[in-house]
Formats: sequence, C-alpha cells, structure tokens
Amino acid sequence: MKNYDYIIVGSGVAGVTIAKRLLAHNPLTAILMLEAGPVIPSKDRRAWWDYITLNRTPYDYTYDKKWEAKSVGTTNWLSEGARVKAVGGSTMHWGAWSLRFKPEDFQLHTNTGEGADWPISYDDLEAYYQQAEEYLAVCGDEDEEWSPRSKPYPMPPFEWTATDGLMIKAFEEMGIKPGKMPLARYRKCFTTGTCKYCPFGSRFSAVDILTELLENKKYLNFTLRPNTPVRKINCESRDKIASIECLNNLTGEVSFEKASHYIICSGSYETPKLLMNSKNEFWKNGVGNDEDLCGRFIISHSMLKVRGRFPENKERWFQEYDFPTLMSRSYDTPERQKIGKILLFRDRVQPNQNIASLMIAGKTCDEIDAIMTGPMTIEIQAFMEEKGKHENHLRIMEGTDRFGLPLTEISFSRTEEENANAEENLDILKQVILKMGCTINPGDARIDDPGAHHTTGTCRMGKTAADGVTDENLKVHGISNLYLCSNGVFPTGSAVNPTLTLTALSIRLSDLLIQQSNLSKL
Amino acid sequence: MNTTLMLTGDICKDIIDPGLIQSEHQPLTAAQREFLWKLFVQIGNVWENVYYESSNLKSSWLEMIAAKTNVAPSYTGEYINATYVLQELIDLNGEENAYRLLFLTYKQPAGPPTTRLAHTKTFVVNEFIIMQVMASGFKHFGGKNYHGYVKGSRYSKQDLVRVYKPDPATNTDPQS
Ligand SMILES: Cc1cc2nc3c(=O)[nH]c(=O)nc-3n(C[C@H](O)[C@H](O)[C@H](O)COP(=O)(O)OP(=O)(O)OC[C@H]3O[C@@H](n4cnc5c(N)ncnc54)[C@H](O)[C@@H]3O)c2cc1C
Ligand code: SF4
Repeated sequence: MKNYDYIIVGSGVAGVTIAKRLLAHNPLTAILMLEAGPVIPSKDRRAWWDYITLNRTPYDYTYDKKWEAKSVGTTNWLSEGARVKAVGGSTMHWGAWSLRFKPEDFQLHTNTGEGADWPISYDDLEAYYQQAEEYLAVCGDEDEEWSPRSKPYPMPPFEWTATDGLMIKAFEEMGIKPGKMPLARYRKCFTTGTCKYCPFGSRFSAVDILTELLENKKYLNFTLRPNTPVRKINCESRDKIASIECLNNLTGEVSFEKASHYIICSGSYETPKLLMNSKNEFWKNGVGNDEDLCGRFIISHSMLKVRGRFPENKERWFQEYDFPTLMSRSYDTPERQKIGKILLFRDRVQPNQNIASLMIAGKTCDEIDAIMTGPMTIEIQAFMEEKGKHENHLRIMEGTDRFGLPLTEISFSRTEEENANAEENLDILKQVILKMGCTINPGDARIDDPGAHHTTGTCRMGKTAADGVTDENLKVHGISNLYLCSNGVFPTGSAVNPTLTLTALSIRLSDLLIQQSNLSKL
Repeated sequence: MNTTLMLTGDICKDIIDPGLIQSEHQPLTAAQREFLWKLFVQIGNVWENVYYESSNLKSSWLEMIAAKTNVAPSYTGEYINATYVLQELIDLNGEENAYRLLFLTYKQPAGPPTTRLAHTKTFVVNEFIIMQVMASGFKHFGGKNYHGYVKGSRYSKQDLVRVYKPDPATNTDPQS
C-alpha cells in the first residue's frame, strides 16, 4: 500500500487550495485527493448552450434531494439546490462574492455573551486574507473601509449600475454608506452574466485549478480519485490516524489508504458526519467527538428580502449583470452584533423582464415595449448573522445517498427573540424601499429559511477540546495527524459569505503544514 | 390569406413521442442548416429587434447548432423535423405568413410536446428566440448587456452596462 504524504478528502476550494500550495512548495509531494462526486466538465460549450437555452446546468443533478437531507427543527432548513457534490465542489456554482469578516466577528461571545469566540483574531488572518484575495483575484474598491487591510484589492471593482443609482440615493438619505461588491474574477471576465456556468472560467472555480494541477507534469505524485467517498477514519492509537476507508463507487471496491497527514475538506455537512461515523475503540462517540460537538451549533444566514414596486419603468431598467454590484456594511458593525448584523445588497435579478419568454408567448414588439416600460420591481436583500446554539444540530440519518455519503438530518430552530430581531432588521430594508418611493405589497417583505449555502459551526475550532473540535491550527484536538478545513470550523458566521475566509484559512493551514514538513527534514 | 388562423397539415399534426427525437450520429446537411438559418433570420424580421442584419449573429448561431448536433443528446432529429414542419407551414400559409403565424399566433398546447409542430416550437423556435435575444435582440428593448451576451472585456474603455452616474441628469441612458 502506498503511503502518501497527505490525503485530502474533498476537492472543493479548501482541498484544492491546500493541494496547490503544498505542490508549489514541493512538486514531488505525494497527495491523494478523494472526491465522492463525479467529474463535471467546466467551460464546455454544449453545457453552456444548454444553460442558456434550457436554464439547466450540468451539475444540477448532484444537489441534495429533499429525502437526502431532512429538516426536522421548527425553522425549516433548506438543503436542496445548494451543495454541488462533484470535483470542484460548490465553487462550480458560487457567486464569488468575496468579503472579509470584520474584527468583531472573531469575538462574538466576548462582545455579546452569545455564540462563540474564535481562538484566532482578525489580525492573525489579515495577511492570509490578502493572499486569498490575490489568489481568487478579487475585484474590490480600494477606498472601502469596512475591514482593516494592509494592501489594496488586487483588481479594481465592478462599477455600480444605473439601476443601483435608484437605491444609492435612498441609502444616502438614510445615512447608509453604499459600497461596491467585491467579486472573485479569476481570469479576464467578459461580463457575459452566466456566472453559474462561466464559459471562460473567469469566475473562480476550484475545478479549473485542479485541472491545472493534474496537467502539470511536475506534479508526478498528485492523484485525484473522483467517485470515491471516504466512509471512515481509522485510528492506530487515540492520537494517531492509521488509514481511511473509501469506496470506489464505479467498481464497488473498498480500499484503505494511508498517509502521514489527513486533511478533511469535505464541507460543513460531511466533515462532522465523517468524524461521527468513525467510531472505534479509542473514540466511542466518533473521532474527535468526545465532547459531542460534531454537528452542533449549525448556523447559516437568514436571508431578508423586501421587494418594492414602481408603477412604471420609463427608462427600461433591467438587471444587466448576473451579480450584485451595490452593497453596504453599515449595519455590519459591532453595535449590531447583539441583534444580528446584516449585509445589505441589491438583488442580482430584479428589475427584470424575460424578453425571450414574452416573445415565446407570442407577444408582439409593441406589446413587449409596453411591458418593458410598465410596472417595475426592485428588491433589497440582506444576509443576517445567526448565533450558534448547542441544540441546533446536524446528524447522520440511516442510509446513503447516490454518492455513497450518509444521509443528513438537520434540526434548526429560532427563538422568539431571534425572530423579533430578524423583523427589526427587516424594517431597515423596508425603510430603504419606501425611501425610494416604491410601494410594498403584502408578502413582499419576508424572511427566508436558512440553508446549506453558508453553513458554518458544525465542527468549530476552539481553544480546548471542550470549546471546539479543532484547535486554532485546525488540527483535531487530541489527534496528531488529522486536520479539518471547511466552513464548519468557523465558530461564527458573520453577516457575509464565507469562502474568502475559508480560503484564507486554507492558505494558513498549508503554510503550517509546509513549516512542519521543513522542520521534520532538519 | 388569413393572418390569424394557421393552417396545418399531416406533418404538423403527426403525433410523436414528447422526448427529444433520437438522432445520434446523424449528420445535419448544409441545406438543412441553411433552411433553419432562414427561420432564425425571420425572428428578427417579425419582431424587428435586430438593428443590423441577423447575419452578424450567424457565427454564434452556427456554433450553437454545432454544439447541439455534435454532442449527445443530439438535436439533429429535431432540426430535421423542423425543416419538414416549416416547409408544410410555408406551403399552406405562404412564406411570409408562415413564420408570423408560427411565432405570434400558434398557441402550443400545455404539457409536453406531442406533435411534430409542438416539437418544432419547443426545441427549435423557442431556443432560437432565446439565443437571438441574448445575442443581440435584447438591445432593441433597452440596455447594453444581457444574461448570456458576451459584452467584452470588463477592462474595456466602453461602458459594459448602463452605469451609475451620480448626477441624475446623466443617469438616464436607456438605449445607448
Ligand atoms: C448557490 C450558492 C452560492 C454561493 N455563493 C457564494 C458567494 O458568492 N461567496 C461565497 O463566499 N460563498 C458562496 N457560497 C458558498 C461556497 O460555495 C462555499 O463556501 C464553498 O464552496 C465551500 O467549499 P469547500 O471546499 O469547503 O466545500 P465544498 O465545495 O462543498 O467541497 C467539498 C467536496 O467534498 C466532497 N465530499 C464530501 N464528503 C466526502 C467524502 N466523505 N468523501 C469524499 N468526498 C467528499 C463533496 O462532494 C464536495 O465536492 C455559495 C454557495 C451556494 C450553494
Ligand atoms: S460575467 Fe461572464 S465571463 Fe464574467 S464570470 Fe460571469 S459568466 Fe464568466
């Protein structure tokens, strides 16, 4: 049996970033990357045309089905349509909004008495944020002052659109500072607006990096095995992993693979599940799970939405990009932590009229002109920060899915106070819409269910084993050669998207592993 | 010639399976492609939503046709079916009227397409309309950019979308 230097479970942005850096440091590093999902072509012209004409992506089929991830709490938790289980993971379809957390996000418990603190601070991560922004090629505004930064963004921002202008005025009247959404655009972007399946590989996707690694002839010892779910982690002693058990979905063959270090990058659902599933004589409750923290403290973002209506649209405004360009972090401040901070942004879809659908329905040119200049909707949305609670948890359900991964059960509930806080935040959005001179119809202001998009907390890091599953270096407490790297390790979710922070953590972990390997050679 | 009632014949009415017509490894001939191109051009003629000739869009359109016919599941069967259906519509309604009636008057029954005519509308006409709008046709209705339109490098000196100009007097630029 080959003994690899590293086994990486999962081929999303976390796993791929770590592999890339380890290989850049030493091209001969022996890495086995195991991925439960299949290979799905990226930048494929037929797949792109099907997305345009049929609104269908080639990875749709990998999403969780209702019966594969059940919600059993009093607040419905959405898993469908979120996780891509394929080579490249969920960056196959992410929006690439790339915002840093703020210093106070690392000290939620200290500041509010709720949730948790991180065992590291913003300052510990700042240099890695910088590197992550360069790696993902984040286009952002150098004049923004939301989070402290030592260097400007590597690329200039996308400018506000004229439609943003309608909302900017209301923002300014309310003392809300408008900002430009930082977006990761890896290669030259042709502003095609089909970012869920970019035909040019411009929007960062882990699958494109992986292709480069696999094609690089220097990386002789890098192996990717798709269609291979890891089912169990085996220990040789309480503090050392001996092997992992994986199944080749195509042949049905089960194998045991060995490495010096094991890095679990299988996302915030599967990482705790893999630990919980790995019960043995040393860890009766699952590897690293003596304190019963795996799967607990699950949070995501509540999505707040308020739609406004204008009676007419003389200027024929419609959304010309498939991503938002206007946002604000004016309510993403330490003072708002207690109630739950929000990231405000203008919806990426509205105002909109589907011109082709109108033509398909047989509308004439004049009729379509009248619709284009007729009533218009515009929407403001916000992500709202949630706080992890012990009783909210993710568990393993009996049975496996199509990819050989255990089924999931999520129990998530909000308290009366949390619901009231969400309503209070929703009022801010309503005020913006009213300030714009729009009307709000019944049902147009709502708080959507949370879901899998931004799941965090499920194997959080903490100073001691009683606080978290991993230590500040993402090493599982009490085990010398097992690391976790996913959004699950975040003790708090902040009000912004997680992936820039995850990438910064991945870079930090790879540096640590490189340091260790340098030391062991001395 | 009646301009509100579309006359259909045996081919249009022929009942077939609703799924994509099987045609793997079947080639689309140059003549069939040119026949379909005429259909595509008629979209711009009927809605008058392309500023210059549709010919500007031909290379994009050909690329889509190649992608849809060379790679499984192949659309070749649907495209060939459409040539029969269109020819029958032209024979019964006259060339100019046939397209107008097919685009504006024909109401496809709800549910999956079960006739050759419904197949043509679903798999060919509707998809051509979507492609035409995103490749250029949207501009007539306002805006500089649209979902799927390859506007160009984001570092281009030209505005890629109607951009925000803080002075409201200069922030109304619907068509340019
Ligand atoms: C619709 C949508 C839009 C989003 N937009 C944004 C955005 O704009 N900005 C942002 O910051 N974030 C966004 N996100 C979140 C972002 O996609 C995730 O943060 C990121 O992709 C997580 O990366 P990861 O590597 O941790 O996990 P994943 O991408 O989930 O990759 C994990 C991989 O591990 C595999 N795996 C799981 N278990 C096993 C196992 N046991 N054995 C082998 N393989 C396994 C999975 O199949 C998967 O491919 C979005 C998410 C969604 C759903
Ligand atoms: S706008 Fe177009 S080119 Fe740019 S990332 Fe999105 S799909 Fe790719």
